[in-house]
Amino acid sequence: MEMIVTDNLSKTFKSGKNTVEAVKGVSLSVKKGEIFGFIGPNGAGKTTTMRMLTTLMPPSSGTASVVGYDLFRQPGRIREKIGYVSQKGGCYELATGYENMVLQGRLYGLSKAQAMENAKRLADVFRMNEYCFRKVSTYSGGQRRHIDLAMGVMHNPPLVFLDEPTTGLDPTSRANFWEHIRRLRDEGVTIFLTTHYLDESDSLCDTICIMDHGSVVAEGSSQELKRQIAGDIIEIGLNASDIEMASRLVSSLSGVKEVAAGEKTLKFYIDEGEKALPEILPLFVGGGIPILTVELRRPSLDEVFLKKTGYTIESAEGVEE
Amino acid sequence: MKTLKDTLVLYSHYQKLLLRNPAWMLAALFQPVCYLYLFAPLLKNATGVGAVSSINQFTPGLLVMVSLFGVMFVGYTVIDYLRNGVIERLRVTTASRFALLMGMVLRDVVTLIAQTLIVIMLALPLGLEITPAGAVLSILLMVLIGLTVSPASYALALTVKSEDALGPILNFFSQPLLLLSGVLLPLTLAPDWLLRLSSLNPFRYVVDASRELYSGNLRSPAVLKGFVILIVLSAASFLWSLRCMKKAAA
Repeated sequence: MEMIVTDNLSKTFKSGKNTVEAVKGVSLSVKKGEIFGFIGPNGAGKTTTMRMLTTLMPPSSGTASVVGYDLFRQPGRIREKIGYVSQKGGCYELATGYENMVLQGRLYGLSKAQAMENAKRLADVFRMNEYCFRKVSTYSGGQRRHIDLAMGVMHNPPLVFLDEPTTGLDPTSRANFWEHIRRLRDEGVTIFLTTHYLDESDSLCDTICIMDHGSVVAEGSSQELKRQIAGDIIEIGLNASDIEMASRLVSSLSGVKEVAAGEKTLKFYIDEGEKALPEILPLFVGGGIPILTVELRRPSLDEVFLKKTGYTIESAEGVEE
Repeated sequence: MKTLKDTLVLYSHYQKLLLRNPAWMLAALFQPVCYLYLFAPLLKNATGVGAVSSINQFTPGLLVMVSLFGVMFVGYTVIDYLRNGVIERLRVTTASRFALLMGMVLRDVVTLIAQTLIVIMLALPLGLEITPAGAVLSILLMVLIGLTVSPASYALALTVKSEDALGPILNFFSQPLLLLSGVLLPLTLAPDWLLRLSSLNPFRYVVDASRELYSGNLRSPAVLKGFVILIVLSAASFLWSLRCMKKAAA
């Protein structure tokens, strides 16, 4: 079953005389029980898309259904079935984490007893017992993200939206947070998250959707996206005098793409590099070309991103800030 | 039904947070105490027009002032909530926009009732005379002021989204609103042009109604006029704030 299906979903803002197309016709589908990652630099339209799907903002055009309900006609039904954790979280700072959770549960129609039970269970699950009876204003960054996530799942929604859930966390807290998200997925919860960390989407997400300038530029699993690029990367170090001959040799092989000759290296892409490499190396030996070094690399999502958008995500972030 | 329940759940949450801050409670009482004990005595010789004692002239005006100023600045909290993502989170829950607003407004109104009772009790030793029916109507009038001003303050806050804008706007309106309502001194003392200017201020009629209540004229047309004006204003104010809550975004 599809938890989210959108077709040509768009959002246009008017600011003065200018109209800004924040989201330009996004079509995507999110399957039940997967972690769906929306990646892209700041300003790509990720948050706007999420705000539309969570009923916070009406779309300008297009269609969408969320948990089987129509986004335009049944926003109330959608709210019953989704949890939403924004970048800022949105707890009452002067109330305790526990009070925040109980109130959240009650606003979703739980009885006081039920809400208290759920809050206690989540305090255990997210290991918040030490601090959940303190005011939220005293929490560390990691503690905040835990209470925020707990708030988002207080009413056991089948679909949870997380907007930049780990921004600003140190590596240990992030890894710890990923575990909680994975466990939710294993319990059958569908997760839709945005991030601008490529490593996060690589290791956490089942499906990745790259967004740039308001449009989806690529969608698939991390493996699929990397394969789409050009296969694996092989880089061979050679004597400068042998480069030209080696280049001709490699170019003649089937399945080799984009041969790039450096001063003392030859770099090329090939599918299933781990199988191709043992076949290629003897050709060099047979051709009398001495090999100095060999490197086999899997393409990273950074390379996928560069290929799809024409720039690295770090450079885009730099421009934004 | 769910809306009513959500309203009460939110109300009790906000009330609990408020009661945790005793400094705030003292601040809320400081202004009326100052006016009652440091300003009202001056009026004894200045006015005392007709049969109504000066404290009975002054207290009803003071109550309107306390309620106006007590509630006018509640929008500040909502800017903080907007910035911290609280409003956004609440808007994704199944609670209605009405409940989200009414929970806060109810806290403001309950606070006003408490303030009104305290001011009346503080004024009694100074010679204030009020019938139980008059006191009840007076409290009702304060409730209506709360229902008018509190949603408007939230609506304005959700619209301007910044303390830097909210403060000056509120101050800009509050001073003429206050002075042209005859809160401190009855407008019977005003020159003709000032009187005409004040007739444009709806709160002038509210103060008139309040004074009638403390002069024992519960059936006076001025009382009815004050109540009707506030009912209309509070409805408009509520619709405005509901619209803002529907679109609220940081």
